[in-house]
Amino acid sequence: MQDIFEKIHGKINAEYLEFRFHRKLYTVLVITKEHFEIKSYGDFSGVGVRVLKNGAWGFASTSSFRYEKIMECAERALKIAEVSSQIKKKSIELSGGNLATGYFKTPGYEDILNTGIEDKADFIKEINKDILSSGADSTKVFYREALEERIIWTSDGANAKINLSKPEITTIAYVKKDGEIVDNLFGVGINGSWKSLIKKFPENFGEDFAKETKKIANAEHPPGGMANVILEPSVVGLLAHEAIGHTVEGDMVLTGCATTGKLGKRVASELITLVDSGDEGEAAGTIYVDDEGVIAGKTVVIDKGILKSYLLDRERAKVFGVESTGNARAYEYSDIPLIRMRNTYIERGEWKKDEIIEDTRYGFLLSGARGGQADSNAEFMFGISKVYEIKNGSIEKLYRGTTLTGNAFEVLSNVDAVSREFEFAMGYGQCGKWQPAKVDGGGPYLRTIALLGGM
Amino acid sequence: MDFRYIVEKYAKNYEIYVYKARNIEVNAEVDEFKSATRDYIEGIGIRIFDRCVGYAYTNSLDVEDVEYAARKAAKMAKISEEDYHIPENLGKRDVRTFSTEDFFVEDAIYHLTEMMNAAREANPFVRIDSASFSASIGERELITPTENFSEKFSHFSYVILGMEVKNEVAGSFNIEMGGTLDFKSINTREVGFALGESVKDTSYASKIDSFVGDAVFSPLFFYEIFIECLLNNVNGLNIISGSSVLKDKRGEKILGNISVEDNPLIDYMTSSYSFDREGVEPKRKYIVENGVLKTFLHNTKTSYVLGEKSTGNAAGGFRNPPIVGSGNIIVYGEEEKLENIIGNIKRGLLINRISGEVKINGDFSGAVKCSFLVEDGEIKKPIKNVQIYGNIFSLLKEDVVVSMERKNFGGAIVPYVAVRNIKVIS
Repeated sequence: MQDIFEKIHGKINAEYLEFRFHRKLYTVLVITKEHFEIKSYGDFSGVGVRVLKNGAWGFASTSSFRYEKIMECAERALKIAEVSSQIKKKSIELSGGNLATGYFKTPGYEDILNTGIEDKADFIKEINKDILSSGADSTKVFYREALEERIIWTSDGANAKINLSKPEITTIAYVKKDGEIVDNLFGVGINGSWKSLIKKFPENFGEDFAKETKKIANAEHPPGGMANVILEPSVVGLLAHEAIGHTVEGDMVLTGCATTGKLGKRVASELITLVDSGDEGEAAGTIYVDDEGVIAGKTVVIDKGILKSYLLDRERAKVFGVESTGNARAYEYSDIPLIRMRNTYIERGEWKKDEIIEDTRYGFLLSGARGGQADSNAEFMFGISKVYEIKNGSIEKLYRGTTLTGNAFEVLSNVDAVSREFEFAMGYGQCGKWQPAKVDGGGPYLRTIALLGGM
Repeated sequence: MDFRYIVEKYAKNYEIYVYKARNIEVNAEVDEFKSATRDYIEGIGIRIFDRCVGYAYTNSLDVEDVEYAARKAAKMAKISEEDYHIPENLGKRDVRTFSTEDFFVEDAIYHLTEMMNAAREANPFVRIDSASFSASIGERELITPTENFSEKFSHFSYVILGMEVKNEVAGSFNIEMGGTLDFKSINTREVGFALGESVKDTSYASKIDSFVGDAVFSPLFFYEIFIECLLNNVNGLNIISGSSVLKDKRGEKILGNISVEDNPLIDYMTSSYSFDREGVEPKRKYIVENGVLKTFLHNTKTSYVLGEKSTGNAAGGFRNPPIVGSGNIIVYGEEEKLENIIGNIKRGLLINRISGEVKINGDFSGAVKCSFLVEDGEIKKPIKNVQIYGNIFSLLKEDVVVSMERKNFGGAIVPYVAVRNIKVIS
């Protein structure tokens, strides 16, 4: 494929040319209660070509791997760039970056390929059966798998092949209580093997999950108001990704958001170091190389409370006068690369989790992030599955899920304890920003003050 | 290519869905034209009914790739228990879904620019966060052992996000969108103008005291807070899973005087189709008529599990087995001019959107954004740091007034809706 790209490069007169061969193979199994709702396999593959000409982008794609079709595609991208350059006010220029060459692969890639679909179906059927037989009224269990092969070739020297395997299992249990339906969700998604994935589901998972759901259904709603809260890793990950991470994406920063003009300034407690990294082992947002051919390394966004870096592609890096942080990502071959996060997390601290609980006179431990929204000013609202009351240093009572609201930078400025225990916990599901992206997030347990919703 | 010949090697009963489309997308970001893309997507989805059901797809129509997909679909069918249902009542209706082949990148750039300029014309202080215009022109085809339906389409959709910025003070952003299948009806100017108007004077929002009062929901907010929740609750998949709170309420009066129609047969609306994703004939129907829950939405699978008939609501593209979707959604109620609705409010809110969540049971909570205090019949001022919460089904149990003015988003026609006794916390 690289031979074709090089041959076409010789015939296209542009400032920059980028080819992306992108094969994605998907498997989806979904069980709803007793029924297999979906059993699907898919292949969505092709080549995307991006051209920078006269300071404007042009992008086109094709599902064919033949030279003639890719050449046609490159010519179309060139023409689009030429048309676009006529109305563009500011010319685009690109920064450099740590360009990748060579082969990058998820450890255990072959394990996913070699595990039969029957084994995968049997595993989720067993989990589903256990949840239903342990008292849940209904269920949904998903297995999703994406196997990716990418070749990124750019006219300024990137030439990398990347193979990724991203399997995930998500379970939802439903329990009826006084005419109301209460649900509970648990999911795991990784960059790794089938064996690594199923290790995250212990033998008695289904039974424990159903019991937990029944406990939530029988619990009262928590009291609302400002409170001391201990956030567990999935909530910390959601905060890091949704409420902070999006505000440091270079395109958002240029639009105008909470972090615009704040580089070098204090934005959080000195206990907070926030990182976005494209190479974190089994964390699901691991990509090794971004879709502009830049090594997707570790970017320290907030260092001990000080805003140090934005997340950038090569275009926005040039605007800020720095190098790309390797955050340009395209979901499929037909998508244009956008600035996206990878694995976004807060680094571990000095406390033990139990010490933080023991040190809390009155507050709540918030567990199980359920998604949410955040605005560009970092105001957020997240759903939480489980709320545990803490009294005099011990966990006393389980409450039902609620909402957590606040301004992310204020919440992080009020952090006074960060645990050594650390976890990535957002690997299932995807982030949406015009196109999906597989990301992960997490962190330690941390204590702060925030507004809990009540009834 | 004879797709039947390939698939019949693996099963007698099958459904083949073929999709071909030329797509154009142009984008703007931070007040500036950003990029243009063009691609041609073709693909085939094969569902095999061989005592069990299996599905596979590929975005290549080469013989070897189609054959591999057919073999994979047959393999997927074999991995689970009996799941036998074959779509029936296949048929096609007349509805206009195609208007032109002649639409190019230059046309898309023209409409994007028009939308952005109209926003600036309505409000010189608007900052356009992002905007996009998409066109998709192509054909879809459904092949079964006995039928072969096809339909051409030309789909145009556009969205603009922006906020007002005065003296570097930014207000809350808002969103406007539109869509049509008829290139002559593209209303990017109207949509851009609406965005500029909707964020006017929001730069200097102020706090207010908590109260319980009336609220007028904008059409887009009403769609997000109520219609999406209703559609989730009448979706056959959620009836089966038990997650729907309306599961046992068909035939009951669940709301006040509101009616919600699902109509896939309106010429040139973006959720119109002449045959559904399984080839079942589409129908016009009320989901809720004068507050009474009339129907759930089904594809063949969900109707089979529940012992009912498909409502012609199978939806989706070639990359998924058919899911359950809806046609164009039209909301009806007791009508009044918007001016009069606001004129009758003593103390309340005009809400354009919330940053928050709506649960499937109708519970909602969130911070209102780009919204205004209404007092003594007049829109007084933009507000900030205000939360609302409640249950949307409970709020709509009372009779409500809807505006004569309606917004057409392409796949829905929705009025402003006035509700009472909403809890406003600040």
